[in-house]
Amino acid sequence: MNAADALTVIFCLAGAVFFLAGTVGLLRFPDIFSRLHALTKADNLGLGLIVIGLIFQSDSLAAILKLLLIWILALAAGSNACYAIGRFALARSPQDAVREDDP
Amino acid sequence: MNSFYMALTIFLVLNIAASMVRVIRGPTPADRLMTAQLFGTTGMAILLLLAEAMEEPALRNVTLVFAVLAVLLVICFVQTAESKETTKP
Amino acid sequence: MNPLEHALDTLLCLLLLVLAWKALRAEHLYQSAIFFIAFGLGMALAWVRLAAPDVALAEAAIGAGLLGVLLLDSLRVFSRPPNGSGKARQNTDPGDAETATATTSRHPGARATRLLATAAAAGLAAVLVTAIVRIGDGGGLTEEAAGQLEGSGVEHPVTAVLLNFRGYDTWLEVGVLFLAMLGIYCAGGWVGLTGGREPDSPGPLLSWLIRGLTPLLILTAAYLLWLGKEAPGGAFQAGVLIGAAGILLRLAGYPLTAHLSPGMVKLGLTLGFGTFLVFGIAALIPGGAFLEYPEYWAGEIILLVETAAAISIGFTVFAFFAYLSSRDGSPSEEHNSKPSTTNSD
Repeated sequence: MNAADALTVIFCLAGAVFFLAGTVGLLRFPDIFSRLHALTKADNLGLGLIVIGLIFQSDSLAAILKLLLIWILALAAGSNACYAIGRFALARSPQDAVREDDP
Repeated sequence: MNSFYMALTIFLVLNIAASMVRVIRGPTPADRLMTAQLFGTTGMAILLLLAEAMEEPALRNVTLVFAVLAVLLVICFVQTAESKETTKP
Repeated sequence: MNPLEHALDTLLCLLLLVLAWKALRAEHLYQSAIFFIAFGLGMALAWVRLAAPDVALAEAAIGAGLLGVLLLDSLRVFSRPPNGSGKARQNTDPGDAETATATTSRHPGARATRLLATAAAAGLAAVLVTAIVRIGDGGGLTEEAAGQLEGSGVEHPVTAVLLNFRGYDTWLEVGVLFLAMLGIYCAGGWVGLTGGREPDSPGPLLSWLIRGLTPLLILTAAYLLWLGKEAPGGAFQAGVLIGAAGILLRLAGYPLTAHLSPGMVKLGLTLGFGTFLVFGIAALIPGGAFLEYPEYWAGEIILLVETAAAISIGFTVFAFFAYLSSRDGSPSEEHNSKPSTTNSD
């Protein structure tokens, strides 16, 4: 296994960890806002780290740029989706936004 | 390397299977929609890994299509729900 | 094939079965819709594993991207809680499709319908299994198609089959979409296309995103269209992306087709079918068969026909959505608002 392969393995595994964290967070967190927080980690970092890992295997600049474009699009989609869902949920059920033990 | 990609893909598919529980449990439509969003992102990662494992660069275009359409569902959900609320006070 | 690949394929099959089952038997229709969207994603992955990236591309664009939007919007329009709004208000999310339970089980003819559907599905499954067994490995017309690739005008065998060897099929597929569009037109879809209710302003962040994403959607559509010559891609995928761009703009409050003249919209809707027809008939003039393109020009003609088809598919897909989104949620309001917004031409 050469250096590029090793880097790919490291980054992809790190990405997988974030996907796992996102899934566990989505399943275990108590309210919609903390679940959103978990979701965006998978969206941004999980996919991002896997993209970075796969860049080390790419042989052409076009392939690298396409991978980066995919990640940027996922970032834009993820952050906007998070904002939209958050705003939507806040408008629907504001009592969930402030936990009872907060002042 | 091929086995590594495959193992990672299997792991991500298992992730998708696990997050199905949130679709069933809900409780709000937004929760379910978030799970669909996670399905999409995980699916994109799987496609990129498979593109490398199966040596099929066309799969990156499939991922690209997923990526450009990723936000459509959420925007549709939020926009139509909001406009409905204003038309029906 | 190593054991990990077997494991992945088995897992995907199981996942697809579970998703399909949940989509059919979920508690709420909204849940079903989400499961069906996930099923689309699973199908795309399955096509990838079957080494059919062309179909995976179409499934990604239609199944995971577009169908979800249409399903969610249909739910908003057509599903109302059956017994008034009292039950809906208990939930923290009033009015959402969440409370619309699947009422099919209580329908009197449901049992017969279900039996009929099961019989039809079993019959189809039997036919498909027989077909797979009969084709076997590497059977069919694969060799013959590969041999004719030279004169087809394109390098990608799938595009050659769809647009040249079996252009007839694709032409009629575009025709089916056109018929669907006519159905929507009859049901009042024209209102949605040429005007209708404008949604709320999307807010600064969303309008920024839409401003950036729409050109990118069109660009990706053009890329896929161009790519169809030598790699997976083509008119249907590109058309869906064009339609998605229209949907996105409309959601942001820019109803694009409302700014076009009715004639332009009609041209957009019929362009694909018409272009096929024109080139099909033109092929008859030098004594060829219908849709038999001259070898020398085949590449250019295919690109032209595909572009026209993509534009029409985009318009049609947008028309589906525009029809839904021009309808208001509750049936009672609809009767009052329908005549006033009717914009017949």
